Amino acid sequence: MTTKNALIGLWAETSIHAGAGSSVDGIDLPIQREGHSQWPCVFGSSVKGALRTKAEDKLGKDNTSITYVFGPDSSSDKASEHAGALLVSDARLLLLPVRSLTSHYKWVTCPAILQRLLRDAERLNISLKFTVPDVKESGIAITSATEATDLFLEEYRFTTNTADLTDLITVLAKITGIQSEELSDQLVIVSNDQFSYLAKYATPVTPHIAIDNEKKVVEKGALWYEETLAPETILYFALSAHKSRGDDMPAEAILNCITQGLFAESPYLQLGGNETVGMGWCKVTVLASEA
Amino acid sequence: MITPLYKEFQAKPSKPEGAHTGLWFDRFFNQYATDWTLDSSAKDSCAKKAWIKKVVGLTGDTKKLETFNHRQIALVAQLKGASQRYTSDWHFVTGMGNSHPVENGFSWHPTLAVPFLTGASVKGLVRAWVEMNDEGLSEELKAARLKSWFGTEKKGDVAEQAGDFVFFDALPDAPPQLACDIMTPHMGKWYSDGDQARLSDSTTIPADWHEPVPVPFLVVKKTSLVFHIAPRKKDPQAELEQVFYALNQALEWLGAGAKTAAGYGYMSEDTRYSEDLKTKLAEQQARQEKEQALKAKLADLSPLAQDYFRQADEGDWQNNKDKFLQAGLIEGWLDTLEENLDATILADMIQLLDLHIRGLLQDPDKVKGKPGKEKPVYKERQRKIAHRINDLR
Repeated sequence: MTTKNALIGLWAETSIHAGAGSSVDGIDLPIQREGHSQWPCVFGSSVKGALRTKAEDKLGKDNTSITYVFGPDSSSDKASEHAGALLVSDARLLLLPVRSLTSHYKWVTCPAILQRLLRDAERLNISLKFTVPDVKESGIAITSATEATDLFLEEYRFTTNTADLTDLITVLAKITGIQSEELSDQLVIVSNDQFSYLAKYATPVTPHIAIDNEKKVVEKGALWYEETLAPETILYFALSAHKSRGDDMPAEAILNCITQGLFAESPYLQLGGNETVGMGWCKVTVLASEA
Repeated sequence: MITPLYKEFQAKPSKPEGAHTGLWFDRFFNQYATDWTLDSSAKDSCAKKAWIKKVVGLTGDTKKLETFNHRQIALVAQLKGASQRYTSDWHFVTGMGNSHPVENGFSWHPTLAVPFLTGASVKGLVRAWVEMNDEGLSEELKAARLKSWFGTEKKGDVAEQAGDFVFFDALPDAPPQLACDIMTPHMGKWYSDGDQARLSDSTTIPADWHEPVPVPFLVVKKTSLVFHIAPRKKDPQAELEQVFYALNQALEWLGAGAKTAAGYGYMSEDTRYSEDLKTKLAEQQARQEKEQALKAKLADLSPLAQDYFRQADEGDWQNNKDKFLQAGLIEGWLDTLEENLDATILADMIQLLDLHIRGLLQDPDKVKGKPGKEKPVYKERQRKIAHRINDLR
């Protein structure tokens, strides 16, 4: 194989705001979403930028291996010389934390998301083995532990069905670094349609204001609504490394620059905007392909 | 489509066990009269008060809050930042402007169901203190400080750079106590329409013919919040202390959250917390470094030797003589070595034996006492061990 791949799990430690610019539905600052499914995501360009920033902070802006891995700086006149050797995918949603009346929150996902995870893993040559539970009916929620009562997510009521999710939980624990017991308590699988609805309307939207210090009143016109992904959101993205274009750095060395060089001593990545108000910090788990 | 909850829940209006208090408070308000009005009489039956009473008491899960706090501390320590805890002097309230049927909303953490201050509020708070207090700084220096700490000289400027510090959400590390407070505004429309007041209109004038209107609202009665601040790049490390000093002052003199003019939101630093945390983090780091050193040392050794050195490390054989000499331990390893000789293990055992029982290996059968009445210096077990080791050499 000439490419080397890894799947990177992201466990949000704080809220994430990867902004999409403007919107039409009353939220001033919405988050990035996939066009067709409206599932929240973080675009690959944002993820690549975040990786590059971390690398530049660590090694310095002019480090040659940064040029080989990510490509020459686009503002320099060398940008057209060669491309970077690292492909970075969108960070895709895996588990969405949703408020619940049953416990504080549940990690919600759906069959379509899990099938996509299997496809992505196959493409990356990483073997993940689990069966995707079947939930077609809306109003049904699959959990691994029996809930004493019906399950409440936001203001909706679900009837619970128990299923053996051991394989799935083992895989999720491997990708995210979350303890299996915790996953087993919190994991809920709902139908695709139901998930789309929650993914669209169960994300936190918070009002923000600016205060005029002299008068201690809200500055005129300073009220805006900002959407975020809650802490505990689980995302993942794919890294594929080629042999470098610049010199003969093999694919494996390119990938190791990220998986070892960046994440071995500091397993965190800051994604999206609002960094200085604590947003976007994710804990990183690396899953490299075998071959 | 699934059935919305409202109707069924109107009959049983109490919060389910373990529920997210914020979700319950925000989405399940069920105190409307049949014509969708709210009973706002001053008595306890008042609809708003009745609703607030349903969420008073402790909120949040002790274990989840602790775990989350530990994770934040680990993250902030990695970024070379610091964490400090502040305890509210009196009541505290945040997010009153959020929309809610009882008119005064509340700011709930999305997953932990506790009131909190967002990183943006913390940043705004520290900024407000820096803007308003000069601390002997010249205008120029102050502007420079505002620019470097927060990214802009003046609020409203378009930022050319990001601030040098990251202000994280401030959260309680234990379930806070919620309560119902009541404010009684007296002056009616003066507050909202006072800027257009005319003498001919008696409702918008502040005067003593208005009646007080009791408005119940949800507050935090007592809580401690843990604040985390980290430098964005590595350089401004030295200034971190000054930022925390500004936060201390802001919490002491400006107050956090809403209604600070009425005494809400003042907090004082829990000085022991950061001391304890420093010790804890240092211990943790020492443990990690030791573990890494051990790992590096073991990397090239055989699996058997790895087992041996892990055991030696756990028992601290180097310094703990009794643990090393405990019954059967050395004999067990000697049995293994006699079957399968490993030079590294043997060398370490010899070194430890020399250290703990001096001279034994050189002359195990050494005797002392008057001629004819000699007694062995070493005990029988020790002599046996020494012979076995010497045979292995």
